[in-house]
This record gives sequence, structure tokens and C-alpha cells, in this order.
Amino acid sequence: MTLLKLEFKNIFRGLLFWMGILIVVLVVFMAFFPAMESSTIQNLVRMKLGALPAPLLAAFGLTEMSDFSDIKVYFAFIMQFINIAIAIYAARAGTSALIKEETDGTIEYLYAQPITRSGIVAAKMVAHFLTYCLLIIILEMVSMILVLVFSSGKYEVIVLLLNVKGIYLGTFISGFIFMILGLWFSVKLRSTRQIGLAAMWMVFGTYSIGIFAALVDAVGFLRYLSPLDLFEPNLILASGINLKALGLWGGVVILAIGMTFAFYNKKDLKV
Amino acid sequence: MKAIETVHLTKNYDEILVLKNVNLTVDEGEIFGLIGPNGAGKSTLIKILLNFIFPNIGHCKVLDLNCTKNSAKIKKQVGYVPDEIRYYPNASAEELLKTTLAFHHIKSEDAIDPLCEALEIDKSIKFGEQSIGNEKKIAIACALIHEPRLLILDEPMNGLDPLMQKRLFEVLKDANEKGTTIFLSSQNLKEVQDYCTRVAFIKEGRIFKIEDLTKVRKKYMIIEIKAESFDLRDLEILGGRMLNVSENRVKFSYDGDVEKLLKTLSMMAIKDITIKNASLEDEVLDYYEGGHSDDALEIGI
Repeated sequence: MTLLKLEFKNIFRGLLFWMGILIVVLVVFMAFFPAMESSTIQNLVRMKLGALPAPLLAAFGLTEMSDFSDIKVYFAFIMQFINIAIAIYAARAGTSALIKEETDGTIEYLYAQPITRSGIVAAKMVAHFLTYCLLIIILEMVSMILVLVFSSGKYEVIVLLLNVKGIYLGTFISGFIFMILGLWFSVKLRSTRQIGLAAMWMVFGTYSIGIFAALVDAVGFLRYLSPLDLFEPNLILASGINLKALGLWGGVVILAIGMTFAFYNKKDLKV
Repeated sequence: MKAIETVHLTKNYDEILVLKNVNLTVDEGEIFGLIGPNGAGKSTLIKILLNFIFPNIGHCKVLDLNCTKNSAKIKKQVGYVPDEIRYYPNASAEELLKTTLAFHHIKSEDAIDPLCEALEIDKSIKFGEQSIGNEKKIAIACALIHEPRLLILDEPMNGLDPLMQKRLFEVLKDANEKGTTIFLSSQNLKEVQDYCTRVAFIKEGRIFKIEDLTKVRKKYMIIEIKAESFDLRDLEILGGRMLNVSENRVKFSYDGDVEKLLKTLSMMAIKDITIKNASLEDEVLDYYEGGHSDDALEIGI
């Protein structure tokens, strides 16, 4: 419990920073929605989308008929970018969780206390998981308010809220996967200087694979390597959570957690 | 009970051997010093004892518990002060001390004030804003606050002014008198020899000498002569042990009859001579400078 409190204290400032930025981005994106409702902008968007090949549009969860004057479609579209940002936050949080103490040297205080290495991993995992949940809950609430405000009463409230909830469930799952993969990376990294790079590679590497899989039919199965694509907002709106993908990545997450504990218990700490 | 016991402890990083077959025993109640230059393996040994790193060969016990398997249990009874103190910069000394107590499940915070007063710590200032000396004092306070059975200090004198060094040793002596075993490392024997009961000398990962400082040491001299020519055999017959020999200069140790020594020296065409009583420090310095084999340190035992 002491370590959990200590960890909360250490990561809370970063959480507030990300939360602030993401809320601003959400508000700015949503502020464009009223403009999307005008027929001139709708024609312009359709023209632009129509100029792009269908596979490329599909790679970004769009069709040439995507109707951005529908707040659900527009919100799902902007959530793609929010999802990437949340995935980066989660990957960074996971990746820094263990290595930061070693690079900062604070592990010499921490591991001089009567705690086990597994206790350190578990406390950090729980602290990061709970702060991540807090981030998602706050953003979800902000999103619900924004969607309700900008929908101007044209949609059924419960449907809108359920759509936002569904989209955020996908956001939560993909971010959580990156957090756990990051945690496993954290055992392997040599310094905090590698955190940013590792997180970016993880998120954009898998995302690029997902886009490539959407563009080339022959390697379509590679989509399963990209959590951001598997739990993409438009897909969730259309067909809900992909349970096959959830099962697959659930297995990967369990394996990564097990390996994180195993490797951290055996590694020479960098002190 | 043994406070520390290492058996054939060996550690290497890739090709580099940093600890070689270290066998060491520290009894409970001792103030034990580990003396050696930078890179000798002192910190590596301490880090293995505290399970920060794992040995490649051998094993070790702290307070009769296996260092690898019972690390958390060991740390309930051990306080540790690292060489370079890098604690949480945004936490004040008071927060760090309270956190340490919480880790040890000690609810009473009564020990904080007396300890801060004894070590002259301003507990309200953030750790990151403290001077190096104060950082060390806070680390020492954190290590002592739960009244450990064993206190491990890696270069505790670094960054402390002589007055604070003296104060620290008073605090350590106090803790020792209450039953805490103290194991500390230092580069400088002079810093610690007045306080330690025993010291081990380590170089290139190998412990080459363990000295009981409570026993009276056999006195001997270090003689350095500069002469146009000399016969080493004369000095060897006399019982001198050569430490350093060059073309017209020789340095040797001698613990025999002074009259015989002077008689032998008088027969040499000496240009310059230095004779001094050797201290343990000299003995170790001779070893470091001379690059002797392990058995060279038999002198003076």
C-alpha cells in the first residue's frame, strides 16, 4: 500500500498533464462539428473522400459516404486520433514504470525497503492501471458532455451515450494492451531515454502494420497485430467489440504480465 | 549469528570480472570496514548482499537468510545508505522518513525528530533542494529510523565535512552500542580505522587481506634508500622484504633488530634514506602501488 501511494504521487502530475491536453484536443475537435453540418463543408468532405481510393479510406475507418454531419460518425472519426494519443500515453506509462526508478536512481531507496521485486511490479502495474482508468473515465465523461452539447438535441441521448461508452471501451482495451506491452519493455530497456522511442515504435509500428493490412488484402490477417485497428471506433460503432481479437490480445497481455514478473525477478537492477 | 556471510561470491559483467571468489564473514555486533580504491568491487559486493544484482557463482547470507531468496525479510532488519544518494526529489526529508516507517509498518513517528536533530536535518526542505552532505544525512536517517540489526553504508563519508563525519560516526557508534552491526565501505582506511573492529581490503574484485584492528599489530618499518649501488642479498639476509626495487633505489619492510639494520646500511654508499614506522594504511598503499601478488600482504600481520 505504501508503494502504491508513492507511485500515485509520482505519476499523478503526468496524468494531469495528459488529461489536460486531451480534454483541450477533444473540445477543439468537437468545436468543428457545427461547421460539419453545413452542406458546403459536407460536399467538400465528400469530394475529398471520393478522391481517395477505397482501401485507403478503409484503412482509416472511413468510406466515401462517411457522413460527418452525423455526430456519432464525426465523434468516432476524431476518436481515432484521441485513441492514438491515449495509446502513446499508456505505452509511455507502461514503458517508464520500472526503468524510471533505475535511471533516476530512486530504486536504491525503494528496493532497500522490505518489499519483493514482484511487489514492486504489482504495485506499479496497479497504480498505472488505476490512473489509466481515471484518465479514461474523465475523458469519457467529458466526451459525453461534449457530444450532448454539440448534438443540439437531435439524437436520442441514451443512444449517444451508449455509442460514446462503446467507443471508449475500445479505447480502454487498446490503451491497456499498449500499457502492458510497455511494462514488459520496461524490464528490458536500459534507460529512460529509450522510453519515448519505444512507445512511439510500439504504437505507430503496429498502427502502420494495421494500415498496410487494410491496403493489401493478401496480408489482411496482419490487422490482428494492430490493437488500434482492431478496436477502432468506427468498427465498434458498426459491429461492437471484436471478441476474437479481444481473446487473442487477452492471451498476449497475460503472457506479457507473466514475463514482466519473471524477467524483473531475475534481472540485475541498474544501480 | 553471522551478520554477513559470503561464499565464493563471483560476479562478472560480460567479460569483465568484478568480484572474484569473495569469502567474507562479518559477526553480529561488529563495525566492519571494506576498504578499496574506486572500481575495486566494494559497491558490487554490497549490491549483491541487497539483491540489487545476482552473483554468477557463490552465495551469500545476511542475518542467516539467503540474500537472493529472502531479500524482503532481510530488508526488514537492514538499513542501507548508497554511495550516490538519488532519492525522490520532490519528497521532503520528513516525507521520506515517514514513507520508510510505513514500509516497515511502524506506526509511531516519534523517532523522526530526535534523529533529525542528531543529524542536523531540516526535514521540511525537499530532497532535490538539499546539498550533497544533507542528502547523505537524510539517507543515513532513513537507514536508521527503523532501528535495523544491520546497517550497510556504501562510502558514507563522501560529501561530508570532517565535523559531520565525526558526528556521523558518533551516531553509528551509538547504534552499534545498541546492537546494530555496521558494514561500511570506504576508499580511505584512515577515515574509518578508529571506528572499525575489522577491515577487509579489496582490490580488483578480490579480498586480499582481513585485519583485526582490535589486536595490537606487529610493528615494522618501511625503509627507502637511494644508493649508487647496493646488494639486495645483504638486505634479504637481514630479513628485509623487498617492496619496490629500481636501479638505484630500494624500498623494503623490516621488523628486526635496529642495530643490525644500521650496521648493514652503513656499509652501503647511501645518498638518501627514509625510515618510518609503517601503518596499516602504508601497508595497503604499498600493495596498491606495487602491484604485488596476493601473498605480498603477509608483512606486518
